[in-house]
Amino acid sequence: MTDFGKYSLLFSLILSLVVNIALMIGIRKRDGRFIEMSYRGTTGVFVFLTFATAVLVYSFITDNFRIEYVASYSEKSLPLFYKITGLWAGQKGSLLFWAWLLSLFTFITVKRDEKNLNSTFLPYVLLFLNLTTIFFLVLVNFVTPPFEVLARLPADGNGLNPMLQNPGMVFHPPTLYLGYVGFTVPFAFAMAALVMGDLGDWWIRKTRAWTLFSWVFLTLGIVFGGWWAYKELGWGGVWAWDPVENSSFMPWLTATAFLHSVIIQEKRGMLRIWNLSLILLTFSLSIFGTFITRSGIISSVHAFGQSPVGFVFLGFLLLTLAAGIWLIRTRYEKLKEKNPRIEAFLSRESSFLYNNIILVGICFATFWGTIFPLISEAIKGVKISVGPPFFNTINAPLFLLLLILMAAGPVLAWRRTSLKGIYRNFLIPFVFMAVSLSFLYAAGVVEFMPLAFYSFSVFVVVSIAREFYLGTRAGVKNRGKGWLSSFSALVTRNRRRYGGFVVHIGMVCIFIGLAGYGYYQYKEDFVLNKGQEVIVKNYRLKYAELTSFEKWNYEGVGALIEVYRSGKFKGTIRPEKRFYKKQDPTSEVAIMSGIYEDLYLILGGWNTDGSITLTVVINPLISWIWYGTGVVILGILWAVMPVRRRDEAVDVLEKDMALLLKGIER
Amino acid sequence: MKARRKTVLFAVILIAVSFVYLMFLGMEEGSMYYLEVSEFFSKLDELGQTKVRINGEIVPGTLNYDSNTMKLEFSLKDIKDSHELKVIYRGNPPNLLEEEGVTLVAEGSYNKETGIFEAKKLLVKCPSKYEKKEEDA
Repeated sequence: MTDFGKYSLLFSLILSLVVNIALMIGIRKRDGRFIEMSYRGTTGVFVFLTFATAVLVYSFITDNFRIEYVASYSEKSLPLFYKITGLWAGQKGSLLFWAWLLSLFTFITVKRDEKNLNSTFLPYVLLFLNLTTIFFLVLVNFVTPPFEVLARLPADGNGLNPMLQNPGMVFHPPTLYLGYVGFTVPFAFAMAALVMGDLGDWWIRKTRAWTLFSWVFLTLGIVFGGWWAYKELGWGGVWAWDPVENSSFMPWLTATAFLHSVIIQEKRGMLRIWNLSLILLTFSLSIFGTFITRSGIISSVHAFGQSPVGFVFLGFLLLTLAAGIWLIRTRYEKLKEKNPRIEAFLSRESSFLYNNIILVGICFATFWGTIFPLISEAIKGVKISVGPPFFNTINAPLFLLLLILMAAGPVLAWRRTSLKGIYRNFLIPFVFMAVSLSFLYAAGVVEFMPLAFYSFSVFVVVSIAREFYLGTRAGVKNRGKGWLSSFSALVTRNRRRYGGFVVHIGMVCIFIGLAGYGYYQYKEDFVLNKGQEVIVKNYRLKYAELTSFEKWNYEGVGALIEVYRSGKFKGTIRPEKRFYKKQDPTSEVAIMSGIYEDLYLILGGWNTDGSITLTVVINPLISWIWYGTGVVILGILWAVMPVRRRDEAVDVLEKDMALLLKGIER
Repeated sequence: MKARRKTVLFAVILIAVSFVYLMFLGMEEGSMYYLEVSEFFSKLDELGQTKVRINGEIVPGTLNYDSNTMKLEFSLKDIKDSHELKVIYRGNPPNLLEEEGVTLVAEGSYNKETGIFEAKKLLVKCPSKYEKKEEDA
């Protein structure tokens, strides 16, 4: 069985090499037969990789511990769900999974356009996708072979690290990979556009859905990671600016910038070089992230197994960057903008421009802080590490600026905004903001940063609500239909715009959550005797008793804590320590989650006299991060849903917009 | 038109300048020496009271936690042997500390009089996030 897996991996590699040769011949000789052969070849690569992946999953399900990888991450008594997800529990499986996803996406890309006779770009796109596939296939065949067998069959596997036995951790890697791999497609299209010298916005339109799809998965992957850290790591937070975390955040930032700046290129034909650079950067940063996490070159609290794989990734990264930069340089003359430049200080375009500068700025600051230990060691011979205060000092104000732009963006007009127009569009949101600001101040939010975050959040939400309202009203006026049908017509006709607004509302929720937890987290340690009570803020906590229990793979000790909030009994929760049969013990925090705040308890330890040490953390508004993520997903789903009769819809929309603008001008 | 473009340029420059300023501010606040235990001892004189981060392995048998006073004590050493550095920390010990021989990063400063490193923050490295430990192999 393992041989099947091994040989189908080898076969995939051979096939993908054949695809590449066929492509190069086909492109050079302009021979359709070779191109067609390469298309078929990608199907083959996909089939063989699917087979290899299935073999590995099957080996997990059937407890085939002869395979070293299975023995390392599974055991007989592991629940089936975690056996299946064992596929990406470790590096070897992860890379196989990555390669498989890439072959799947390549397959889809080819299938979508192979019958389309106008798709002269497809061979070039495929060339770049296939080169990336070859890289991963070389890895899984020769550097990190997942089907390596053990000389001696172990009686049972090592089991999965208990901290990974959590839904957040199960979905964190695959969502992140979906995001990373997804961006390979727009990257390949961008490179194809460069090679062909056809530098219109066709590649952006073609990959719009891919971009949104990948972005949402990248977002989800990051949030899952934070959620997992919050539940499992027991320090009460979601984000610590650790190099490993940063390395997933950096491509997200450039991807977000890309998402916005392509709109400018579509609408006004600007920022071509910038967009190409952003997608190159996004792809490179996802590879760079893998390099950081796998090479162990920067010390992180998340110690992955250190292996030469990291440096192989570094090599690939340098190659990609060199090729990308060379392509942009040689096409520079063609790329130079013939289209209008940004005209005004305050306009839709300029707000997109500022948005991009800030996002790239955050990315640069994060990059700087992440690699600074390396720089300082190279220059001064001593490692200087940069902690969370650095990232917070610089990134928090930048995030605030982003929030302000989110507020300003939709109410600014294209090209130029008159002061009168600004006044009219800003007045209502501004009044709401001022009112909520004074309320917040009266309620005790007196620090500048949180106050600014919250009042601008109000501004964003009100100005977006106003957009929905004005659009609907225009529909009612101009076509005499009801409010509800006008509303649904509005949002279905321009899905991207209104989906985007929903995403913004989700981001505002995430900001609210991050600011609440970031600025107002409260933490205190206690030693409690049995029956003792303690007051923390508006909570009264009573330590009832210590219990012990046994589960299939661990024995646990838990402290029963009765929780009263504002005098009312809210329930009993149990922070635990778990002692696993095969793994190191861990703390299991107890969280009482609510819309206003989370009560988060960590059991530190206990004594023979029955007393315990308990850490109490109160995280205001933290659950808004999770709700906000849900809203972001809804917005993206809305935006990517296919539009029927698109052209007509756009025409009608443009008419509506013209009427709407007229109405505003009046 | 030209003047308008200048304002855009001005806005961009303003953002860039404040960005650089923030970078400096952040570096002032957030950067610290990151040292191995032996490096720490060799730099002891020039460091004085400055806060540093020290990476080391807990010496087996030195970990002691008094849950009544919430005082955690242990000694750190390099993976390759070195002098041992005594560390105290007040508060609940972080998750995963139960295991001895674990590596961690202690953030704090050295008290010359007592010869003890007073840690304000402990960061335990996840021992096996994705990869098992060597002895399991």
